[in-house]
Amino acid sequence: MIYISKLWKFIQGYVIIYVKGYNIEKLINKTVQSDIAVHNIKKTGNTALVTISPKDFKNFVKLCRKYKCKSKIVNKNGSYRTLLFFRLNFMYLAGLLLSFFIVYFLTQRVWIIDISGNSRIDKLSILTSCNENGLYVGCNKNSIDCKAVAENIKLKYKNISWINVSLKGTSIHIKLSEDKPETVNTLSDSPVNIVSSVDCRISSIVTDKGTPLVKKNDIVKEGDVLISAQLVPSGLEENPVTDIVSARGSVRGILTRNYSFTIPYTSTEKKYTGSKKTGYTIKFFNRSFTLNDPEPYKYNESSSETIQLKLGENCPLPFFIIKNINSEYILNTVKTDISTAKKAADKQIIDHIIQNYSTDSDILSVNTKYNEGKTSLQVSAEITSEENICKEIPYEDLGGNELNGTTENSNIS
Amino acid sequence: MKKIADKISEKSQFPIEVISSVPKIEITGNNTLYIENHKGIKSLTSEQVIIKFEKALFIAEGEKISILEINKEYVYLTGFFHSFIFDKILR
Repeated sequence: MIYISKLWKFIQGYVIIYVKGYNIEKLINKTVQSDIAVHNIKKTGNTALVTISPKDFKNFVKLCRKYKCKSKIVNKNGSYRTLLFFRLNFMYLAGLLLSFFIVYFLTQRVWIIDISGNSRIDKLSILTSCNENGLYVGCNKNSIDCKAVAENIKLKYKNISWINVSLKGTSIHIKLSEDKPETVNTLSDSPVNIVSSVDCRISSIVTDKGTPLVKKNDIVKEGDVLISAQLVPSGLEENPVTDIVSARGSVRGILTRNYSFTIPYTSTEKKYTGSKKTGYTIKFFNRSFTLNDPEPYKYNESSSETIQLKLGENCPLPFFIIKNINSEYILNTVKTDISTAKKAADKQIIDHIIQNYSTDSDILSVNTKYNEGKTSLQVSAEITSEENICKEIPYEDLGGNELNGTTENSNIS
Repeated sequence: MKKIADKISEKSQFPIEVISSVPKIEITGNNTLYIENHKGIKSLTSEQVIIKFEKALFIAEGEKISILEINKEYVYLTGFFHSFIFDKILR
């Protein structure tokens, strides 16, 4: 309510008057009784600042004289003053109107087409379909029929199960979900053997299909057959089986790998001096205008930051301000002691394990040996792990049953 | 007069400050004060304001006190108020 009152006072206009006297309270009371609208009274000592409307100014001055108070105009303001200002400064008004028009024009266009949910359909082809319905970056947003765009895309791509096209501010959001692809049996029917991918000691073996040729604690080499595709019938099978199958199972082995590296005692480190040079580039649509391009430092690290002008969350505009920041640094030589070097070595070993070992691998032990050299610390780590060592290779008929050593194939009926 | 106004207010459930000139004071936080049915200002400084009522005085003390709006019906005061005193009888 008070804000509406303030706005109304601004439209009407107001005069701020400085009043000096010993009967200011009486003056205010009389002013109120005389139906003169008075507000913003700030009194200090025997002086006060009073705000009144211009139409009551004469009456107020008369009352001031009656109560022996001196009055002086401090400021005048209001809508009429603003209009007078614009009348005298026409270019200012023209610039203001032009800026309003530009903002209005830019907010009536579509600047972002956001597509989400597509996995097999290409974004570019969806955008091409949108273009057929008049939806493209920079088009008038009032002419877009979101329903028609959605229907057109759905008709064009049969594997879209659901689609939603919504307009929010100056951006279009296309959300879709695709049908699940038909499950294709990727398992090949061709018989395969499971062989070892590395030299190791077997820790466990679980066979789903095929004949296991190794057992726990056996030492195997890379390429040794672990589960054979060739079945050995026991005679108890209810269902008829073929004698050559695609071997399936899980075989895990324990193996040890060595990892060696050196950590130098001296290293260089970046130290930022705090000096920065910032260059600004303005991008409007696809055109860039470089405002200033500062010289890079001798030791320079550059980074950039892009700011897109927005009118609220949903109204991005095609204006970009790109800040190119050049930061100066100097290279400092840092000496590290042995304990710090050892900590760094341990960290490097952990990073190596994270990067090079699969997630299903179990690290059983890490034995680290440090050799303190004159200029560097030599580190060698022995990493023992338990891993899945299965590798499928096509079955080759070796001409006999390896299990019983005979040359006759097992006939299963 | 007061008794009649009270009775009418009780019977009709009309607010008492509408029927008679009983003061109505609204304090929001410690920085705004809205007073209805006043009879003028007795004293105003940036630390203290004394408002007259028909049969009482209302004293508000604080800092940076100013009158935001005043007319015959109400006074709207702003500032940082510390204490309020409702002093009856003055005549």
